[in-house]
Amino acid sequence: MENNLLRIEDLVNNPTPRVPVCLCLDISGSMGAVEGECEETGETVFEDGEIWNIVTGGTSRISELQAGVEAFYEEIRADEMTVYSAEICIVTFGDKAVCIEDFANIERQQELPKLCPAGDTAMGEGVNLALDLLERRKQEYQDKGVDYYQPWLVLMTDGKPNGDEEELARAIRRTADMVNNKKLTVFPIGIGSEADMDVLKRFSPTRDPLKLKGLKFREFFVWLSQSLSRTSMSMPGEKIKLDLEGIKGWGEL
Amino acid sequence: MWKIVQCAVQGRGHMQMGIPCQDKTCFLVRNGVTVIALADGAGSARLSHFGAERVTQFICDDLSENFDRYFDAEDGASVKKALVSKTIVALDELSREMDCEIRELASTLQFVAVREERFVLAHIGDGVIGYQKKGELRVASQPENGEFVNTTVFTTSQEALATMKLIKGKVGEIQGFVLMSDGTEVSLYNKKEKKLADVIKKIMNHCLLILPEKVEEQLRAGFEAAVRQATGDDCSMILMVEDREPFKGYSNLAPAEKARLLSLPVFARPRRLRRYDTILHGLESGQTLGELAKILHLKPKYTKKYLKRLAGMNFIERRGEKYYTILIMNA
Repeated sequence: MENNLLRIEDLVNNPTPRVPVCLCLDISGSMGAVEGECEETGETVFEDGEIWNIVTGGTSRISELQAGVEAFYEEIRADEMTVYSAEICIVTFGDKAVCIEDFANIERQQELPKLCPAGDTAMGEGVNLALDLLERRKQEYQDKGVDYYQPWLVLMTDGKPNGDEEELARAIRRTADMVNNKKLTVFPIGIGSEADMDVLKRFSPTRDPLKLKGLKFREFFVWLSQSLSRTSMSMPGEKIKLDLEGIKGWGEL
Repeated sequence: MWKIVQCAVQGRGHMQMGIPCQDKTCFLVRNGVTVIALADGAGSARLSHFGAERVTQFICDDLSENFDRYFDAEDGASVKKALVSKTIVALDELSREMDCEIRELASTLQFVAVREERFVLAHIGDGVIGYQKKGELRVASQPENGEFVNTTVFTTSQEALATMKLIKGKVGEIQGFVLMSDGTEVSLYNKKEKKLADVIKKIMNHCLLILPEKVEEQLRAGFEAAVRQATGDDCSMILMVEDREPFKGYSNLAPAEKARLLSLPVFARPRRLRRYDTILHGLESGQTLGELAKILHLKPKYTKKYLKRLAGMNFIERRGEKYYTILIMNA
């Protein structure tokens, strides 16, 4: 005979606390750069402030980034806790900043839009849009009485910002202030040897940015989803210790 | 007289990580004061379960000794100051005993103390303090979280004094108080509407009709099967209910009172009521369905209907093949 004092149907159904995550991704022309075995065609193109050789074969940064983000979604979907708490938004920046995937529960998000490399590196505009969207989402949570964790901003770039300088300065100031006030967790990631790590450092006053080894996007995003899983289960007062073995330079959230 | 039941279960997250249950509850009845207390140890603090245990014991002791002094004080700020500083002293002693930093012992804290017609309650951090008045559940103190759900205030926090809630008043028509940790909050407190789950009323009511140890046993089973499944956190609750008109036991009720208790029409047919009498008395020593059917001269399938109804009201329970009455028959 079942317990009749306190049954599942007697419980209230509070919404799962959310972790809003904004992926702010560089899709400038340089993200089309290819690594691995490839052949030059002899043609060149001027893109994102540099002259590039056109090649065939190899693997481009953008295709690995796309695969990495898809792996991130898969990992989250496979985690019974995170799937209900993580809410992902994607902002891309090339010539301009665009939100290509607005916040929603991951189960409602369909196939990821294809990322196509083109244009300059409007990083400041991208980060400002990402911060605006995170703020708007937090307000929506507050309006609907949904609890939430500290938001995450993942900033990935392979180059130097060359958008509006004032926008960049504003983005750095806003991000650094939020990090210092413990209102935001930021993960600045440099891709390849041309990534401007000094600028990325200015976005992250409490710890060094990470330089991605080769094109190990998948490994990074798998690690990120595992960290997200731990955060979504964290309790008041608990500091989330991240697994630092593979991702050196990261400390506590 | 106040009846008290309590329950604390280890969260699923803590089970996975091998961390002990950091939620602690405690009560004390001394010097005419009844005190219940609950503390939820900080997730980040290695020894917070010891801190939570110490503060609940300390606060029960302190309130049983100093209730009048606190209640009579005009200045609430001085009471808050006294409670926080004395709690810190108790934790400081423990930190020396355990050779650890005081912040390792951080926890939230809630308590309700009642003496005759007066009560004092206080709250630091998250969790909820509720009460039942005129049959309605109300919230006395809401959770104190920061902007983010995994942040709150602890006994050792700088903000403890500034954010502490302290309320005193007359018990009047208040029938019971309940304290719950944030893990329990997920299932028994509607955060959007800021309302407690109705089942708390049912639990309070059962505290008066069923032996407290039996309520605790069932509460624990319910917490393990349902409440704990909704969160990774530890879950705890302690409640006190006033037995103003003590339940004299089913056997001593008049037929109309029995009918009311069994939710039967007031003028239920005497034969129907007698059948319930036979079942409840018969099950005091435990009977199988077949044995009971013989006693009632009923087919088992009809007997089962009666048993199902009584089990639904939580007046009987099944252990193995036998059914037992858990309703208090003779107080």
